[in-house]
Amino acid sequence: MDYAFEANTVREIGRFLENGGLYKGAKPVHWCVSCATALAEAEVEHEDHTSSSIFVKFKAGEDLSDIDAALTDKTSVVIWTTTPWTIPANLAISVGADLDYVAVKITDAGDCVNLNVGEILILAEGLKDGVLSDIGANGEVVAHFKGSALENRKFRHPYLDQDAPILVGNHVTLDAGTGCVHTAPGHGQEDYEVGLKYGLQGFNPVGDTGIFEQGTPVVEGQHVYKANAIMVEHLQSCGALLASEQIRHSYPHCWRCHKPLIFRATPQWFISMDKNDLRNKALAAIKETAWTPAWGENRIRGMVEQRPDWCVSRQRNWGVPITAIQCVSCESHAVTTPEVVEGIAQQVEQAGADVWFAKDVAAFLPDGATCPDCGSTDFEKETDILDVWFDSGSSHACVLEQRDELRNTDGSSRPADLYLEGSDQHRGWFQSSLLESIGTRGVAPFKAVLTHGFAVDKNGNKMSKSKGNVVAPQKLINQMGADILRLWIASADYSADIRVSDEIMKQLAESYRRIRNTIRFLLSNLENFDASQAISLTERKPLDQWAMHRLADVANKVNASYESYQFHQIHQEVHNFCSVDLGGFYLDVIKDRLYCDKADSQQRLSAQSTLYDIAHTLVRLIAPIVPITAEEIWDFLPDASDESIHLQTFNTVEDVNIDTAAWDKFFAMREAVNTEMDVAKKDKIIGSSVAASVTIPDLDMAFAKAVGESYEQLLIVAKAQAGATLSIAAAEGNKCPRCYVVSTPAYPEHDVHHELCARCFDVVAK
Amino acid sequence: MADDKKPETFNYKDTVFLPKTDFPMRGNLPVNEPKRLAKWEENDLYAQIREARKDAPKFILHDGPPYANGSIHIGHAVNKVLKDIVVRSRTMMGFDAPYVPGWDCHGLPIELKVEEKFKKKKRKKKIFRMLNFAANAVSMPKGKLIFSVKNLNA
Repeated sequence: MDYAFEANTVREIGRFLENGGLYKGAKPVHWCVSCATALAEAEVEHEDHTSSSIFVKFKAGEDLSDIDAALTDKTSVVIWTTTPWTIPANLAISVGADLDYVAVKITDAGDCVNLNVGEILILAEGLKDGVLSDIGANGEVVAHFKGSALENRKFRHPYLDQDAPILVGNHVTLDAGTGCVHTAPGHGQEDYEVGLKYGLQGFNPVGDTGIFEQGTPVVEGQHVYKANAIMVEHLQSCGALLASEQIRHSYPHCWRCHKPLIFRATPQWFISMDKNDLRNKALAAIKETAWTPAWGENRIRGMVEQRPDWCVSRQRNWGVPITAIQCVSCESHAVTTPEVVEGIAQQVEQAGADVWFAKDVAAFLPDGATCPDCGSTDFEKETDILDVWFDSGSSHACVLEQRDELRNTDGSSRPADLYLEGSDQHRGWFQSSLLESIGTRGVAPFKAVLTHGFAVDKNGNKMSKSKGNVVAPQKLINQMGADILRLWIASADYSADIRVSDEIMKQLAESYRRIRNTIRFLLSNLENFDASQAISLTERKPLDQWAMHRLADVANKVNASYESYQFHQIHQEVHNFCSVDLGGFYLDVIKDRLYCDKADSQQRLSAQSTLYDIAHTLVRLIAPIVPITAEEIWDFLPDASDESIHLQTFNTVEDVNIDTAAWDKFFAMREAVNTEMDVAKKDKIIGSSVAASVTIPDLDMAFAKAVGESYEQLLIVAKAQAGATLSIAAAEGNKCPRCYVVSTPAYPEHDVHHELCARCFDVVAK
Repeated sequence: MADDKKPETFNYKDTVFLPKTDFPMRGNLPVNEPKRLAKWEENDLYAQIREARKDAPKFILHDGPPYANGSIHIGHAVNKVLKDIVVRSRTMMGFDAPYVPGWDCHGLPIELKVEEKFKKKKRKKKIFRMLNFAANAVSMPKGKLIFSVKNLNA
């Protein structure tokens, strides 16, 4: 990272410090004990993990008979948790104020050694049956009450000499557990929030490498990963454990080391989602942004609506420091004024971010600086570094606003027209960029965001080294070419995952050949074509006008698809045009004109003018996708400028009205004839269609006249006539030795050209 | 045809206009592509495009963070090629659409590589920076002129 980028990142965090959006708090955050650092939401990956799921009794710590006479001194609340290691940090139990709870008198304790007949267990009514079945006990309901009746009543920690009061919180649901939620404010976000309302601090006995601190009963000196088993055993022996089992569930893991994470309350820096109305402003900006595919909008909106404050500090060794200066006596950061931040930024610009650690705090403060809050002159530097997502989220400020070529022509800076990344970035870079930019500038850094899926193998599996299904792009490039790789990427609908397999690549190579050879045919018929002789569109033969109409349609669709980033539609359009319209019809029909008509005949020029227009348009349409092939075509194209194709712009294709209904009718008839032709070939009635005589019902002669071609030409047969039923026979006559069309020789008495058909005789002998 | 008029042979091939071109049927891309890229590089096509569009309205695609695992893979190619197609098509629509990577060898990927290399076990609160060292020690992926007229990762 260059120094300027680092310095600008310092300025960006300085803006948050100045506007009050940045604060230091002690919330529980995702913590990796292996990397010994806090992690942001974007750095958390969910993977399967096996945990101990336990039911634990908390005995009543006071007389509860005022709630209901059935609540004797043998009453307990039952909690359920999958993180037994957090029991040492338990400070409370949460219930839902409006949820229904029952007191169950045990009539059969089953095999549960820590439960006796006659004990009273408090459970949510809706979860009672499941819990009793999990414990293996039976009982009868002896009391009903709402959760609110339990608020502030005292229960006892299962083994510590301390109370666990009942709190009322909105986070309690009947989705799982007992309806009575173990609450450790130092180890959970919701626990922390509900604790705050009751004046409980986030108690955290776990050190930054996951070791329980000295003086923590039972688990002192133990690692959190080992504490689950220890805690289960201890709760069993102290009489609190009612049931335990191993469960496999989705659990947060570190994206770097893939170890399971914990929640841990430590002093961290946060960007507030609510200060300066950051959340609502971000939501408004999301609405203003164009998202491709459209579902991206809902996805990121949901994330921004739900997300907690952004933890931006990291306890790591590499990165841009949080350049805040703290007063040693009152812990205020007020001495870090905008001027001080700018001074730090300038030093970083000169010497890099290392300067923050190399120099004494005095080097960053004016002489005789005093704390604006308490007047102290004793200061220290913060040593945390910034979340890398803050760095990357600042790239709009560090790149877009700094480089001349990315500004408007009048020099003003502007949001990017497009951010384009994988769909995992809704919670990563798109979000960090949005929050950073909204938080400092009040506007989104982008006008549009496009996301794409990930490359998967033919079975839809993610590629990984361990599965051995990784496809190296370099290998494909070496084997097939970069343009084929690009055509594959362009042809895929990136709104879903993108499949790659040998089969798919072969299809793409085939498609490439089709497009390449179609254009090769165009070029091969344009040798010596002089564009100044080109025939204007309205003067061309109607069949050529039809081709131009199709070309205009394709060009319009392709241009619109480039505009809206729907590249896979481009490949489809171009490929269909080449294989169906051109290869499957038009080029076949005009071959006769091109090869056999007089060189300077209007008909031949009309066809060539059309091929010229098609070639000039197609080469442009494919250039962004297969740039190397397009440049190669450009080298061979008549009248192409000496400059690269990549300096050109898309062209507009002149369109002309055609009778679409009549053409549709013709193509339907042609389809029927071709089907019949295949049968006739199979039955050896004819060798090839050029030697066929076709009888067609309801033959629309007006159409052929309007199109200016005979049905023989349009269908490429020897003879086409109207008749009662569709039938095919071998044509009578001779094959003209020049054009291979079967017909009657024009001048059978001629010395030399007695075999030629009338058109060829005309060309050769006159 | 009467038998007494034996036909003379006449070569009609010279009287028809069969298609003719030196444009090769096969692309032979793996061989030809590097040559074309070298030529573009030699002529600095990217600079030519910038010059040709210098007064045109801008279209800015902002490149995102790099992949953390440091090796170029097919997913990387998907992302870079889509960006390249956007930039090229916007250029052909008449925009001045520069392609400027927002990211150099930056931050996390390097740190990962450095830590991997040294299998650093013990933690230090003190922050150390080894940027120059890291840049030399870690060979970051290069686009190798594959995806763009300009080396995308330069």
